[in-house]
Amino acid sequence: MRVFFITCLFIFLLCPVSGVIAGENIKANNRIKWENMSPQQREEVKKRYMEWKNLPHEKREKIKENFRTFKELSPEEKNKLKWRFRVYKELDDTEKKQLKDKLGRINNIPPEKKENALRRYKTLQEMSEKEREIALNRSPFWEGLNENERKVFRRFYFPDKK
Amino acid sequence: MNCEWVRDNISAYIDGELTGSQKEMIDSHLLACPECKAEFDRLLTAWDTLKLWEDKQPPLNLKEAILNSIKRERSSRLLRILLPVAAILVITFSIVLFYNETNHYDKKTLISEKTKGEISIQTTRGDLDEDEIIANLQIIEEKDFFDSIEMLKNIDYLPVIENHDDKKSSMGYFSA
Repeated sequence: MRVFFITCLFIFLLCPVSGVIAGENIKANNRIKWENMSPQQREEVKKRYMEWKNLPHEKREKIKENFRTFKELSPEEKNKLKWRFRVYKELDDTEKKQLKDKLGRINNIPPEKKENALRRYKTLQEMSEKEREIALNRSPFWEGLNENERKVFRRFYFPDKK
Repeated sequence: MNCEWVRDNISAYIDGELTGSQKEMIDSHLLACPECKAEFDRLLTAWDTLKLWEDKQPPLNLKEAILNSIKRERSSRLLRILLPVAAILVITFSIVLFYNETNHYDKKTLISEKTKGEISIQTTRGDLDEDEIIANLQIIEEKDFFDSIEMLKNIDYLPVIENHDDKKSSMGYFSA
C-alpha cells in the first residue's frame, strides 16, 4: 500500500515535470527552425505574429484549441484536412463566403441528421469513381452545381480520384 | 606438571571431564599453588553464577516483531530517501515555473489602447517578443489553417445533408 502511495506520488510529481520537458522540446525544435529561417522568412513570421497578437483573446484561445485538436488526429485525418485547406485557399472570396455560410448552418442540424449525412458521404467515398459519378448525376443537388463547382466538390471530397 | 597445563584444563576439571589420574594431579597442584587455586575459585564462582540463570523461552511473536521492525526501518529509510527527492522535484518544478513566469513577465507584451480602439503592441525588448514567437511558431505559421480546422472537419457533412422541404438539396455544396 505504501509502495503504491509512493509510486502515485512520484507519478503525480513527475507529470508536470514531463509536461515542462515536452514543452521545452517543442520550444527547442521551434528555436532551431527559427534560427534556420532566412531574414525574409523571419520578417514574414513577425508579420504574422503581429496579426496573431492583434486577434481578440477568445479567438486566439479558439485557435490554440483547434491546434491541440489537430495534433490528436490520425495522420490520415491530418492529411485530409490539409488537403481540404489547400483546396479552400484556391477558392475565390465569393466561393469561400458561400462555403462558410453553408457550413455555418451545420451547427443547427440535429445530430441524427448529421450522422445520416456522414453515412451517405462514406457510402459515396467507398464507391468506385464510375459508380460515384452515376450516383451524383442522379442527385438533384448535383444538378444544381455548375461545372466549376462540381470540380471543386470533387477536389474537396475525393482528392485521390481527381 | 606446570601451571599452564592446569589452567588449560581447569574448565574440564570443573565439568568432570578429566580422567581420575588427571583429576588427582590437579587436586594436588591446587593445594600447592595459590595462584592456580585463586584462578580455580574465580572460575568456580563464575560457573555457579551462570547456573543461577534460567533458560527462558523467547516470546512466540518475537520473530514476527523483529521482521516487522526491520520492515518499518526499511520503509522509513525509503521515505527518508524519497521525501527529499520529492521535495527537490517540487522545488525544481517551482523554480522552472517561477523562471518561466518571470521570463514571460519581463518580456510581456504591453498592450496600450490608442484612440479609436486601435491597439498597438510594444515589448520591453524592442518591437517583438522573439521567445513568444518561437513558443507559438507552429500556430503563427499556420494560423489560417488552424483557424479553419472546424470548418474543414465539417465539410464531411456538407454534400449530402438535404433539406426535405426543398428537392434541390438546399444544403448541398454551393447550391443556391
